Amino acid sequence: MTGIFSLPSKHNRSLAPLAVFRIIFGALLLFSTIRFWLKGWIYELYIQPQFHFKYFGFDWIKVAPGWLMYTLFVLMALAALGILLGYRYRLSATLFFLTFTYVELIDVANYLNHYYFVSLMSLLLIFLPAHRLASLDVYLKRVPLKTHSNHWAVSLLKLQLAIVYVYAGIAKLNPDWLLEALPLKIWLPAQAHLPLIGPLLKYTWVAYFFSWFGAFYDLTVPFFLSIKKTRPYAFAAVILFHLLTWWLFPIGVFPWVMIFSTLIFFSDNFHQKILARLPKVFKVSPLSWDVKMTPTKLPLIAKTLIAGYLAFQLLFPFRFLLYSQPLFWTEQGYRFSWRVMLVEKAGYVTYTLTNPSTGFSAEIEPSEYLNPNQEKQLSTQADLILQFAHFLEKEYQKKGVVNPVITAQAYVSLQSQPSRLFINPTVDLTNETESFAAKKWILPYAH
Amino acid sequence: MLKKLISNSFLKNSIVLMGILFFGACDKNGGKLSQVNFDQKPMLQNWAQHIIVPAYAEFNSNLQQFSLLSDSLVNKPSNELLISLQKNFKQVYLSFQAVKCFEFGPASNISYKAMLNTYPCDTIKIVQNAQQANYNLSTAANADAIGLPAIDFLLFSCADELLNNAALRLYLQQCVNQVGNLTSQVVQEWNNGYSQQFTTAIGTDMGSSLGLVINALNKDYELIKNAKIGFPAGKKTLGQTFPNACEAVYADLSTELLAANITSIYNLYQGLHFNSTQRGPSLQDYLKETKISYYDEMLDQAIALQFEKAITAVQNIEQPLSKVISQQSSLIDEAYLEIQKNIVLLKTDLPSALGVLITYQDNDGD
Repeated sequence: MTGIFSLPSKHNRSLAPLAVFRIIFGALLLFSTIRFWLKGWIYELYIQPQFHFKYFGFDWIKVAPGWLMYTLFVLMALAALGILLGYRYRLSATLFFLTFTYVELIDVANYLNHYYFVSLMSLLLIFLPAHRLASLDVYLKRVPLKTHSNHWAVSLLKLQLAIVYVYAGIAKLNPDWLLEALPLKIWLPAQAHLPLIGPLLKYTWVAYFFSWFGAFYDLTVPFFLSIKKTRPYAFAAVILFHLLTWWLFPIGVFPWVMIFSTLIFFSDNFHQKILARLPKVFKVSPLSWDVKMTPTKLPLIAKTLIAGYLAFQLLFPFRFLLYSQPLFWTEQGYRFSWRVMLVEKAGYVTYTLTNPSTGFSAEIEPSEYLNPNQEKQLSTQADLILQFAHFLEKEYQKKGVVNPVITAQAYVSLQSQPSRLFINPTVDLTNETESFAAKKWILPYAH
Repeated sequence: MLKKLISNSFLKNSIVLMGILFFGACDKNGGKLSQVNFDQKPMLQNWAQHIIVPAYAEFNSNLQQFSLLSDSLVNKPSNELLISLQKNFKQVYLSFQAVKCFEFGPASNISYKAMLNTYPCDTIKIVQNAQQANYNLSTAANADAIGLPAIDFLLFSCADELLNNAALRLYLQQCVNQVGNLTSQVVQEWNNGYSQQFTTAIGTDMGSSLGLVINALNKDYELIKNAKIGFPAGKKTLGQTFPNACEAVYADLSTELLAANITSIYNLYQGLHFNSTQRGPSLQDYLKETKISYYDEMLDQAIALQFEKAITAVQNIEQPLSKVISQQSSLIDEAYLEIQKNIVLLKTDLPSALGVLITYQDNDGD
C-alpha cells in the first residue's frame, strides 16, 4: 500500500514525487507572489495602512519601509524561482519561508488559511531533499544526484495535506453546516446568474448537497487519493471541488495550490514519467530509478522534530474546546485550524473614548485609521477589537488625555441571525490584556 | 483485503448513510423545493433607469438653471438675481442629496462627492482666492474652498459684498461652473455606456453592482452620521460642539438636507422611482425573498421601519441643526441614535443576508 500512512519500508522510497512537487509548488509561489504585487496589495495592505494588527506574541514584528517591502517581494519571487529550479535550493527555501512568513506576520487582518499553509509547506521544504534530482543544483554538480531517500521525505508532505483536508472536514461537522446548510444557503443563491449550474443554486437542497458533499470530500479525499483503485475518481473530485470553489468564491490561488499539491499522492511511477519528460537540464533518466539503496535512517533529533511538528498540527486546532462560548461567535481558537468558508459574519464597531478628568466623550470610527479589509476583520474579531482599543489609548494619550476610558459598541450578525452586541459596552478595554484566557468581556451569544 | 473493504462496503455504506442524513436535514427546512428566487438584473435596471439616472438628470438641470442665474449675476449684479439664486440654491442642494450616495463608477473616478461637498469650507481661503484671482479650483489645497459649501458661504454670508465685488462674483461663477461640469461629466458617463455596464455586473463581490451600491450607501450613511450630525454635535470631539461645521450652515438648510439624504437612501432601498410613488424591484424585495427574520419581524421590514424612525427623529428637530446643536441635545441625541441603529442594520444584517463582500482581497474565512 502506497498510502500516506505507509510503513517504514525496507528500501528507500523514490524522491520523484518530491521533485515534481518542488517544481509545481515553486511555480505557484512565484505566480502568487507576482499576482500579489500586480494587484497592488503590497502598497494597499502593508505600506498604506498607518496601523497593523499584531499576532499574539509577535508584537515585535514591524512593517518595513516601502522600498524594503518591495525588495522583500523581489527576494521572495527569486526564492520561489530558486525552489522551482532547484537552484541553491536550501537557501532559496529558507529565504522564501522567512520572507513570506515575515510578511504574513505583519498584520493579522490579512490572515488566510492558505497563507498559513504556504508558510508550513515552505518550512517543511527547507528540510526535505527535494533538490537532489531534477534540479539545477544537480546539473551544476553542486550536490550529487539522489533518487531515493527515507520515506518520510514524501510522507511528511502527504500527511500535512491530509491534515488540512481532514481538519477542514472536521470543522464542517457542526449543526450550522450540516443541518442548516449555512452559510452556503446564503452564498449560493447569490450566484444564481452564473451559466450552467447557476439556475440550480437558488434551491435550498443544492446548498445542502454542497455542504454534505464538501464535508464528505474533505474528510475522505486524502484516503481515496492514497488508494490506487480510487485515486482517479478522487483526483477528479479534487479538480471538480476546487474549480467549483474557485468559480463561486473569491478565494484566490488556493484552489490551484490544492489541485496541484494533491498530485503528490500519485504513484512513484507517475512522477518518474513526468520527470522523464522534462527539459534536458532537469531530466532524470529512467535507468536511475532501479537503484535500490539501503534505507537512510533518520537521526533521533529529526524524528523528535517531526513528532513535535505533527503533534502541534494535530492538537492545536482543537484548542477551541477549552473555551465555553460558541467558537463561531468568539472566534477564540479559530485561526490556524483549517476552518475555511464556514461562517457568514458581518460586524460594525465604533469606540467611545471618555476623558475621565472632564467626563466628555468622543466617538471614534475605526475607518479613520484602517483600510476596508482591516475594518472588516476588526468588526468581528474580539482580539483585534481589544488591540485597536490599546492603539487608540496611545493615540489619545499623545493628544494629552490622561487615562482615557475606552469602550466598544460592536454589533455582529452571525450566519444571518439578527445582529446583536458582541462586546460588553461597559467594559473599559484599556484595562484588559490579550492572552489565551477566555475573554470575559465578549458577551454570551444568547443574550 | 483492506483495500477492498475500504473501497467497496465502506464507500457504499457511507453513501447510503449520507443520503439518509442529507434528506433528513433538507426536510427540516421545508424540503427541497424551498428556494431564493430573485433576479438581480431587473433591480439593477430599476436602479439605473428609474432612480440613479433621473436623479442625476434632475440635479443637472437644476444646476444648469442655477448656472444661468450666476452668469447673469456676474454680468449684471442685482438684488433680485441674488435672491433668486438664493431661492434656487435650496433646490440645488436638496437635489444633490439624491445623488450623493452613488459614489461609485463615474462619480468615484472623479471623487465627485468630495469635490462638491467638503464642509465646513474655509471662508478665509475663499475670500483670499477670489482677491488673488490666480486660483485653480481643482487642487487638493482648495478642496475646502469650492463646491456647494463655498457657494453657500458666498450667497448667504457675503450677500452684500457679492453685489459690490466682481472678484467674488467671478469666484462664485467658477464654483458653480465646476459643480456643473463635474455633474455633466458623471451624467454623460452614465448615459454613454456605464448604465449598460452597471446593469450587467451581477453578483455579490466588490466588482458587482450590488456590492458597489451597498458599500456606497453604507459609506454615505456613515458620512451622514459623522459629518452632518456627529461632528457638529460634539460626538467626536470630547464635548466641544461645532455649529459652524453643519452642512449648508449659511443657508440654514442642515436639517432639511439631513432628512433628504436619508430619504433618498430609503427610496433606493424601497426601489421607488425618482420623484414618484411607483416602485420597482428593490433591495427590500431581495431581502424579503431571503425570508430572513430580525427578532419578531422580517428583516426587510425591520430595516424599512428603522429608516422611518430615523427620518422622523430628524424631522422632529424642526429647526436647522446649526441653530440648535448646542441646546436641544435630547432631540439631536435621539436622531443620532436612530441613525446609528439604521447603520448597524445596513452594515451587518443587510450584507450578511445577501452574502455581499466588502473588500477585494482574497477571502477564505467568511
